[in-house]
Amino acid sequence: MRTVDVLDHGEAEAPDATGPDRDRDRDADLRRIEQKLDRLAEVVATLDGRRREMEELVTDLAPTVNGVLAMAIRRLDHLERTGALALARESAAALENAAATVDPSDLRELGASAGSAVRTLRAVAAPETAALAGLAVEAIRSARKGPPPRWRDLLRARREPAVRRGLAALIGVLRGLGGLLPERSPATGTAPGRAHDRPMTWAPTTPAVEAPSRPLATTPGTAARATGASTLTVAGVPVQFDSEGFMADRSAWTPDIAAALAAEAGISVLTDRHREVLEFCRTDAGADGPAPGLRRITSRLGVPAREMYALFPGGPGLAAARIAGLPKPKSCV
Amino acid sequence: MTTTMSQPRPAPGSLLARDGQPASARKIAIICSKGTLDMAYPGLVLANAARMMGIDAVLFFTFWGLDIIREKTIDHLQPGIVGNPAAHMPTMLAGLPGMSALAGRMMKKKIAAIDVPTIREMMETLDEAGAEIYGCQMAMEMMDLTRGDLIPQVHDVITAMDYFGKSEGAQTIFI
Repeated sequence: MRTVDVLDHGEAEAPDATGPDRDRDRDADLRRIEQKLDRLAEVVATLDGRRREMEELVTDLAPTVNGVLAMAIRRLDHLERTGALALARESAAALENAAATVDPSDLRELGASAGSAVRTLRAVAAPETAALAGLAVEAIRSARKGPPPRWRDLLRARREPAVRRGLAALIGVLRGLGGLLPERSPATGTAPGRAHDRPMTWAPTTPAVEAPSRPLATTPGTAARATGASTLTVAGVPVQFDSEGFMADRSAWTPDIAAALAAEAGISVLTDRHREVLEFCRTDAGADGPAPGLRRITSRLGVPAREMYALFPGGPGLAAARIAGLPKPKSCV
Repeated sequence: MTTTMSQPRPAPGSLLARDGQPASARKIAIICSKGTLDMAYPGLVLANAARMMGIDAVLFFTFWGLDIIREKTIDHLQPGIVGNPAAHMPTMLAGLPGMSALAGRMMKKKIAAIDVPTIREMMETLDEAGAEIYGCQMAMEMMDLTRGDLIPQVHDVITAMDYFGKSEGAQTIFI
């Protein structure tokens, strides 16, 4: 009906079309639709036939599977009569004795896994599963015998419709199996704090002789390290250092302090090249940025690593930042 | 770690003094025995960090580690993703051809993004930094390699007994 409506609508836009023409078009359309419906009916019939075939197959195979199960039961019965199961029962009793010494939580866990095992077994014994297993056996029997496939063949086979259907079935089976298993809930509650979560306290260090004790400034960033911080007189002025020997306040830096720190690091004279590196470090770090690592200095400033090692013989990674009055670099390279 | 913490810490304001000795008295020896990208970096980064703070460093490359100093392989190291739970990828998937190369490309891109040098650059920097770089003679013979197969930064090809001479008094790290 809808198609006809659409056609009507289409013709309304074409005013040239005459009455008989319209009728003929409509008839042709109706015939086409009838043909399509016929074809659809055929497809439905085929599909139905296939479903019936499948059902028949399942009915045929069910006795076979039942037979297999019956045989298994007979086997168990035979074992029972020959006394093999008595041994198993004795072992079970021994296990029970052992269980008395086991932690209750272990037992609970064992019980839970046993429960899931029983559920799985029950699922396996269900008639639908048995039928499916029968189909699978048939499929394996009828499978083409050939050399083991190469990985290329495997990839190609993945595209075959039959293989895809099989994969879908397998995934369905896996999904069902997964649904039977208990879901693991995420652990709740927080673990008790470990030793290294607590703030570390250092043993008090002996203050340097020339250090006049002065109250520590409460600049942010230095407060955290205040335990090992100290004030030393460098180039005639008191300078605050953090616990690792880096200046606590980079704005207090002067070239005189740099010269004194350099001398301490084994650099007797600060050359122009030294100053270039120090200036780069201070510019790069800015007012509160991190001190550049060696890699950053060599790649940005274009000073070869070899030269950096010659300029700062005690190790350029720390010395450059320290002499530049910056905190310890956080970079690994 | 325990040793360092139990000893008196160096006085603030002194880089040279550490336990009353110059900093260069400390020495580290790193044995690199693996040829994957993820196992190459740790040794090289540690040796470089040691040199940056004035600690002597000896690097000894043996077995698969020789790939790190081989001219043919140094630029093509791949991460070991098969059988590696930290690769967060099923082993069957990781084992497909080209997966290592793909992961390697991604990893190298990431490494470059955080301005970490390539393995070759690391070796050049280590050489300039004065780290001692040695190849293992036995592994070289086993793999039919000669001195000419190695990058020029390698100082020498030495035996296991030579290594113990070179690493005397050093803390050893085996990777």
